Amino acid sequence: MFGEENHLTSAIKNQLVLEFPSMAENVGVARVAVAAFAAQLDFSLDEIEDIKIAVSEAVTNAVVHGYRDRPGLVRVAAMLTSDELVVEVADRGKGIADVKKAQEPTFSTDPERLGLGLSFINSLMDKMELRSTPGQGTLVRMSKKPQQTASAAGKV
Amino acid sequence: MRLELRRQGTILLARCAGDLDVASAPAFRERIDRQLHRYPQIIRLVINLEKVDFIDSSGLASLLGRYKEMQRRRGQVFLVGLRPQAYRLCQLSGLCKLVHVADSESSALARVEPRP
Repeated sequence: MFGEENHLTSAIKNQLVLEFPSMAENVGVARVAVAAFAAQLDFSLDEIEDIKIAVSEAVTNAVVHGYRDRPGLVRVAAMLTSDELVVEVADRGKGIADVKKAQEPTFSTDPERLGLGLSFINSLMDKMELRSTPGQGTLVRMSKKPQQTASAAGKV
Repeated sequence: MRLELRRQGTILLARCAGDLDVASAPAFRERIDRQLHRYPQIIRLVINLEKVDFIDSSGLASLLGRYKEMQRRRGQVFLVGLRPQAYRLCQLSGLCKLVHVADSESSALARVEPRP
């Protein structure tokens, strides 16, 4: 599930790649890093918050569902074009047997969880794509464009 | 995440600060549940989230879990100081329909429920 950035074009202005062990403590590190990176585009503060939540959900899924209690690496790649942020969160964990069902709200394999992670990503980001192979891993690709353009925000 | 717990009779007040996510939710759950199990007389849980900088679905799940625990003892949960983002997630998830949302700690503490 790694090495997915090949489809990207030369329109990429900047890129950030993080790789870390699947630990709950690293979820906060990933969302703060991606939020700081995303701030290079004209996102509003609310939109930056949306991005933080979406990244948090995707990385939490990798840690909690992808690897469960097994050790493994989570890879987060964020890319900026002139007007869009793209974030990919990948794991080499157990994968998802039914990708469609996983996207239904309140579907969770763990009773202690809400099962809303993917539906939060869907509502907070412009696009979300989920690819998974059981036994191989999962890739979540999400993107968002600032709603307010630089000129509309009164910036030069 | 920092958590300050205070019990006044049948009320447990939980003041939370920092991030409420997958890393901090287990401690949040365990510390509140320990008080709830020690004091079965608690029938109102007031959670102040004013100083919570970040919350996601893992954080919401830990709030929902405390709601379920309070429901088992026919008690209530009040959320205080929800920031706009947290309020939005609370609505998206349906949690706002289950718990009481109060403007301030004092209004959540003072609200008198009719006796059965």
